[in-house]
Parts: sequence; C-alpha cells; structure tokens
Amino acid sequence: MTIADFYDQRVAQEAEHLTQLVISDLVSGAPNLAGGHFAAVVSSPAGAGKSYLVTSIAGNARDFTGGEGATIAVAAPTNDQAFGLVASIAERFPNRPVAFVPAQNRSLPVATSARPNVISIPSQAAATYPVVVGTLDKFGDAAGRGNLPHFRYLCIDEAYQADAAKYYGVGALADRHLLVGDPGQLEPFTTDDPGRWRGLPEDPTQTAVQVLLRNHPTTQNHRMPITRRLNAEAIGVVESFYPGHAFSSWTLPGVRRTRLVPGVASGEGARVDAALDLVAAHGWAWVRLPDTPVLTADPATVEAIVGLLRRLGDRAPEVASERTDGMFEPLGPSRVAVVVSHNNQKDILRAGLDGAGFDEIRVDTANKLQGLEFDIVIAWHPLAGLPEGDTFHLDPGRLCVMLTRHRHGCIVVGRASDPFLVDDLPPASDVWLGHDPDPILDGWFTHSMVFDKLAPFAVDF
Amino acid sequence: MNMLEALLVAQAHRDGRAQRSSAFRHRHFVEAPMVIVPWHLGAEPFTFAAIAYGSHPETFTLVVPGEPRDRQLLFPLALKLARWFNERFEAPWELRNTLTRGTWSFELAPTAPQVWVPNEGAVTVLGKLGRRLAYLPTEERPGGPPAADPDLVRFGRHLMFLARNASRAGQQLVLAATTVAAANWATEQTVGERANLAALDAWIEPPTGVHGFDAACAVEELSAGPLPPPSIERDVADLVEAFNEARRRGDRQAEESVHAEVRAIYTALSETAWQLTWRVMERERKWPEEPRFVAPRWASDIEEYSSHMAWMNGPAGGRRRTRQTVPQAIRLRASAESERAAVEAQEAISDPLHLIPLLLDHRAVEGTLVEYDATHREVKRGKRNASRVPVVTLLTNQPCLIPVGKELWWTEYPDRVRVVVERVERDESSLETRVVLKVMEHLDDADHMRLAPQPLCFTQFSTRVPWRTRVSDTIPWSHQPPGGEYDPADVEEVVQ
Repeated sequence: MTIADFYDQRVAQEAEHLTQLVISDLVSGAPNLAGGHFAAVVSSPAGAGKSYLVTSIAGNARDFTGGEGATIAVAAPTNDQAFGLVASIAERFPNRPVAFVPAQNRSLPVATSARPNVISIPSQAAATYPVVVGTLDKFGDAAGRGNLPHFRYLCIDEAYQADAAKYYGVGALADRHLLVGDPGQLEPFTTDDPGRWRGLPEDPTQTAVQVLLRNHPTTQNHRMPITRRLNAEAIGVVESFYPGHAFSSWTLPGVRRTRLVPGVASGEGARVDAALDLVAAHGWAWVRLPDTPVLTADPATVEAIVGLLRRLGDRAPEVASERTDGMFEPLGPSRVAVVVSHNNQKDILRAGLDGAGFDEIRVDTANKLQGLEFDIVIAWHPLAGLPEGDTFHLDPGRLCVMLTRHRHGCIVVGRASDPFLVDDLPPASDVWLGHDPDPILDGWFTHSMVFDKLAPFAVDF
Repeated sequence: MNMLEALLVAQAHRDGRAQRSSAFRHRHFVEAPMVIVPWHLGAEPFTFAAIAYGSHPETFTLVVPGEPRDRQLLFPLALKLARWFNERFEAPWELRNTLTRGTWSFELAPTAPQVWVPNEGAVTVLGKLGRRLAYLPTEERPGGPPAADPDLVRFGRHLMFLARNASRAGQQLVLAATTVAAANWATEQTVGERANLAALDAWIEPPTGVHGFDAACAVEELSAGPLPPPSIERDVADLVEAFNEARRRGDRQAEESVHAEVRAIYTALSETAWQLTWRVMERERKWPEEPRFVAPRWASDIEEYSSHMAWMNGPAGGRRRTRQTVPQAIRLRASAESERAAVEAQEAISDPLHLIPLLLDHRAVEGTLVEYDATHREVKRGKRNASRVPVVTLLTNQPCLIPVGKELWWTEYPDRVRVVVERVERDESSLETRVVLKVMEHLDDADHMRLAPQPLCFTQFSTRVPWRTRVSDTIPWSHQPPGGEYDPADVEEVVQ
C-alpha cells in the first residue's frame, strides 16, 4: 500500500500550503492591522490537526528568533488543553525546552512533567524561555500582576471556546496574535443572563474570535480544508455543523474500515446487530428507542448502550486504516467512547458499563471530550426523550462534538420522537442588534438537517 | 427533568393540583411591600399604558394616560406615581445609622423596601420606564424639552436601580410573583405555560373539585401583563385612536368617554393581576422562611439599597452610566456568575426537598459517620512533605455512583470543608455502601463531623466565592478598534 492509496493528496497539499502560509505570516509577515499589530484566525473543522498546527507554530517561532526568551506564549482555555499542548510540543521537539506556567494547585500529568525538556516555572521566570505554555486564566492573571514579559507572538488554541474575557487578560501580551479553533464546537457559556451585553462591543461572553474580528474586521480568517480525524463517510453529516466551510477527509473513501464477525441473533438482538452492521459498513447508525418521555438519566437508554457495546465486543471488532497500513487489527475498548450531555447520564452509564466489565471504555460529557478522538463512538443524543427542545439541548455545538469524535463510526442513540421536536416552525427566540448567532434557531435547523442525513442509517429498537 | 420533578409532576397529574417542591420559602418577604402592575403598548416599551400600584391587597390606584406616547398626558400621572413610590421607597433610608469599621464610616438603613410585580416582564417595563425618566433635564434649557419634576427623575433612577439589581441572583428587593410561585411548585405544565401567572396559580390552588388542568385551561387567556391579551390589545389600540381623534377635534366629552373606556379595560385587567400577585404573596408567606441563607442575603440587599440611596444623595444625584467599559463588563460578569453559583448552592443544600434530586442524581451523598481518622497523613499531589488528611468513612443504604476523585463540600461548611471521594464500596449482601472521603481543606472545621448531628451530607455545591483573575484597566489592542474605543465618562468616578 502506498500513501496514494490512503490519502487525498489534493486536500493534504492544500492544508499543508495553508499551514505554511499561516506560519510564515505570523512569524515574519508584515503587520496587517493598525498600530503595527498582526492577527490571524484559523478556523478548523473537527480533527483538522490543530495541535499539529500549533506545535509547528511554536517550533517555527522559536527557530525564527534563535531561541530567545519570551518568543511565544501558547495558551488554551482549560488546564487539560494546556497539558495537551505541553505534551505535543515537547514530543515534537524533544531537544528543546518547553516551559509551563501552572495555575495554583495544578500540576502537569506525571508522564508529561517527567519529560526532560518540560519544565514548570513561575510566571516571573517566563522571560528566559522561548516557548511558554499556560491557560488563558493563568496568563491573564500573571499579566495583570505584571509578572509576565512581553512576548513576540501569542498563539491561542481552541479560540472559539475562549471568551472575550479570557482573551482580554492576554491581549496585551504580544503584538502578533494567532487564534486557532473549531467554530463548530461548544461555545463558552455563562451562568449569568447572556442577554445582558449581547450585541455590544464590551460583551465579555462573545468568543475570542468574535471580539477580535469585531474590532479588527480586516483580520484574515483562514479556513482549514481538511479533517484528519473524520473518515470520508462522515463528511456528509458533519458538514451540517460548518455552513459555508468546505472541507474533506484526509483519507480516501474505504480506507477506514470496520469488520465484525457476522451477527446471527434474532429478535431484539437482530436489531442490535443491524445497527452494528450499519456502523461498520457506513460509519453511521441511528438507534431509535420507542417514543416515550424519559428522565434525563434514562435507564432504558443506558441498557441499550450497554447492549450495543456488549454485542460489539461479542462480534470481535477489527479496524483497518492508514495507521495500520490497511491491515485489520482488533479494536480495543480504550478506542471506544460514549458521549453524553449530562453528568448524571455519565454517572449512571459509568456504573452500567463498569457492571458489564467495560471499565476501559471512556464515558464523558461533550464538554470533556472536546479535542479527543476514538475509533467508535456512541452518542447519547441530546434531544433523546425530551418533552421540548431548549437552548442547552439544541446547542449545535454539543451535537457537533458528539458526532465528530470518531475515526471509524458513530452510533447515535435517541428516541423515535426526537425529530418531531424540530419538525415544526422554530420557536421565537431573543435577538440582539449586532449579534448574529442564535443557538435556538441555529440548533433547530442543524438538528433537523442531521436527523434527515441520519435517516438512511436508522434502526428502530 | 430530574427524578423528583418527574414524581411531583406525576402526582400533580394524579391529584389534580400542584405539588410543593420546596420545604421553605427562599425569599424574605417584608410586612408591607409595594405592589406595581404595569401595562404597556407593544410598540412603545419606554412608556406605560396604565399602572396599578398600592400597598394593600384590596385596593390599588390606577393611572391611565389615555395616550401613552404623549408626555403631556403621561408625565403628570407618572409624577403622581413617583411621589407615592419615592416616599415609600426612601422611608427606610430616613432611619439610617452611621456605622464605622476601622477608619471607614458608612450609612446603613435598618431595612429595605420591597417591590412586588406579577412577572419578570413587569421588571423589564419598569426598568425601561426608569431609563426614560432618569436622565430628563430638571431645568429649562433654550431649545430643550420642558423641565421635568425632580421627583420624576428620582423615581426613574430608583426604577433603574431596581431593574439592574433584579438581575442579581437571589436578590429580594423586587420579587416577581410568577417566579416565586414557579420556584416552589411542580405542575403538569410546560415552561411556557408556567409563565402565565393565572394558569400557574390555577394549578396551585384550583377551585374545589376542579382538576388543575381544567382550572388552568379556564384562565389561561387571562394576562397579568405587561401586555394585555391580543384581543383586548386590539380594542385598546382602537380606543387610543378614538381618544386621539377626539382630542384633535377638541371634543372634551368624547375624549373623557373614550378615556373612561380605556380605564375600564385596564381596571379589569389590573384587578386580575392584582389579586393573583397578592394571592401568591400571601400563600407563600405561610411557608417558613429558609433559616440559614435568606437572612444574610436580605442583609446584603439592605446594603445594596443603602449604597444606592447614598449614591442618590451624593454629588451625582444618582446618575449612573448606562454602558460599561470592557473591564467593567468582565468584572461584573465574574461577580454575577459567582453570586449565582453561591445562591444555587445555598438553595440546594438548605432545603431537604432540593437535596432529594441531588442524592438521586449522585450529585450528593448522605450517610452516617462510622469512622473519622483525624491523624491520617499523606503527601498531596504537587507537595513534597506529608500533611494531615483526615479520612471520613460514611455508611449509607443508598447506592452511590459518585466517581472517585470527585470534589464534594460538607453542607455544614459549604464554603470551607472540601473533600475528595477516595473509595466507594458497595456490599451487595447488606445493600450498604461505604463512602470513603479525604478532607482536603479546613481540617479544624472538618473535625466537627465527629460531633455533628447524623447523617452527614456532602454535595457538589459550594458557596465559596471563587478566585478571580485580575483584570487590568488598560484595554488591549485586540479589544478595541484601531484608534481606541470611545470610553464614555464614568459618572461615578468623574463626580467623585
């Protein structure tokens, strides 16, 4: 097998070209904003390889300045994301130091901190290190106290998850900014009234990207044309989350394959097998449980998901892809995940899976699984069994995260009545001058579109 | 919908009436509140078509300008309301005391006024009316509008304060009857249906022998404002047209006749809203006030009121900016979020009925203390030396699905004693669960567990004020357009 057998070369070249362009513009391009500032945004679909881009930028920036102190600050909204960035950069450049500024009572995972080129430092020591990583909150607080130097570059990962308030704290850290993120995923949220500042320039709840583009509309917004994680079969459904943003899978159709031993069950077992056969053949299955109102932590849905996983295990799943050089290899439980909307769903499902011996299968909420990938994912549909859709459950970002974690296949589990929740005219929702996003309206149409696209893969339980 | 809500809704369906979802009343009620029922025209939010006001359940005063868009008609009536309101709203301030804390002195009222409205929409209407009145000139200016009475402007500033303060979680200076009722009763209604005060009240207290559903159906066309039902609104619009036509003709008799018709419509509407608002208030008043957190929050409300009154009587005369700078918005959002989280925690842990769904959802655990190892020591993550980490062992007959490593807070010290779940051991033969917790903070307070009444309860809710990132006053280039953001003068800072 050759590279040409696995990859879409045209898409790969386009992505590489864009990556090099972004790096060279940031590192050495002329200022593109007033006041000698530079800013660019890279919008990526799920699994586009943002981490690769960010680590490349860190490495190139360091090389450009010859490793002088305070070359680049690399920031992310959450501790886990910052930990991941430290690990990626350190692994990519094993001979160069990566400094991490931890928040109070936080420390790097042992495997990362044990790397010889990783060092945790107080913010006051940042001036001596070329590449410094931290959370936006930590950098913002340290900068507010005057404990951080001025950097040459600032790179923010997951910038669509960062709100304007977090970005504010680090805005003055550098004159050249690059914001990288996935516009389809969950936006930052507030427990306060979101309408308080909507549409106003001072709105602290808008995303980092929104506030930058609002104040500097000439900032270039690059769109990554590639997804490396999702297979070609996933694009038809997933593109619903990225209106106006065309992208393709890195791998060619048929490269990511899933194989199961034939299922010979009857009755309910036959329906479970049918769902598994669909996901193995097409990358999607939509399990529709009977129409009935349910609790958030619905035991019947737990039972269905556990049943699917048990049967999946029984049928000796194997996967083949570019990573295995096209050869089938057993699918381990650590490569399977279940994604839910609520913590109580997670808890009851965790107990159910542990009871069935599936303690290696990851179960978590969409918020926690952002940025992670698995081979097979089961998504507990956010609208499953709801009496009516609301802002939280209709949020297209939540569904996007759920349906974009997989490399091979995704099984969506819901109730037969779920599509009817978005089958009529959408409800009136609040609108604000100067603020286009409308989570209810956007979610309404996105959910409706996704249901339509999943229809060919439906199995009624 | 959590398990308790599902049960209560099912019981409401079975019994034909709402089920109580709180053991307490989580708001302070004053003895003599002011009640205001505003009505407005759909296209004119910064005025009012009528306002009913008063302090007695049996009677109210109604002002109806006839043509709300005509300030010559509106302001004299608004002034009447303003004088009534200002006198009562400012009365507690007249009894203020001067307190001293070290070198700092401040004035504090002994209590605060409380305003009741039918629903949150009414708060919005009053806030917008306040916004219109608060900045009116009180002196004649060449080419300017007529001078407004200072009482009217003062009224506007009070309303603006109330509306702004209403967004503070758990505040009690202005209470909306619909919100108070909905917070304490489970009904077989959708969120939208519960927003109708008449329908919600019908579910809570249906007529004898009538199922709540039927009772709600019978009254769901009734409105408690701020907009009348669409059919009545159309009649009002026609009457306002007729009123204006009569004024244009100078037909005083026709003008008064039409005005009387408009007034009759708003009288009927206000009577319904008035009765419903007082009904909710008096029904809820019979429930005991939550004893632990409501009183401190009321003290905080008194401080907010006192601060407002001090500002009203200061050199700025109560003027406030209407927009915030970027850093001000960031700080306000942070404080509003932490305040909301604290109130959510307070209401969750102080009410046994609120605790039930948390226990069922495994967001809390309750059990009897069977072992408290106060001497256990270990090296905490990121530390070099061992320190004392008391180990708590609870026994419960309920299953516990709280994951290992989860952070919980003891309900007796929800802002201090933080524990982490170490182990959960279920004994299938006895159906008992042992939950082992490690105390991470405030060990001295945690030591009280040994003598505390059993069972002990730990939840995911904390009333601790979270750490806040420092926010610089210098706006970075990313957050302002080239050339710098127009930063309207901060009235508070300029005047002081």
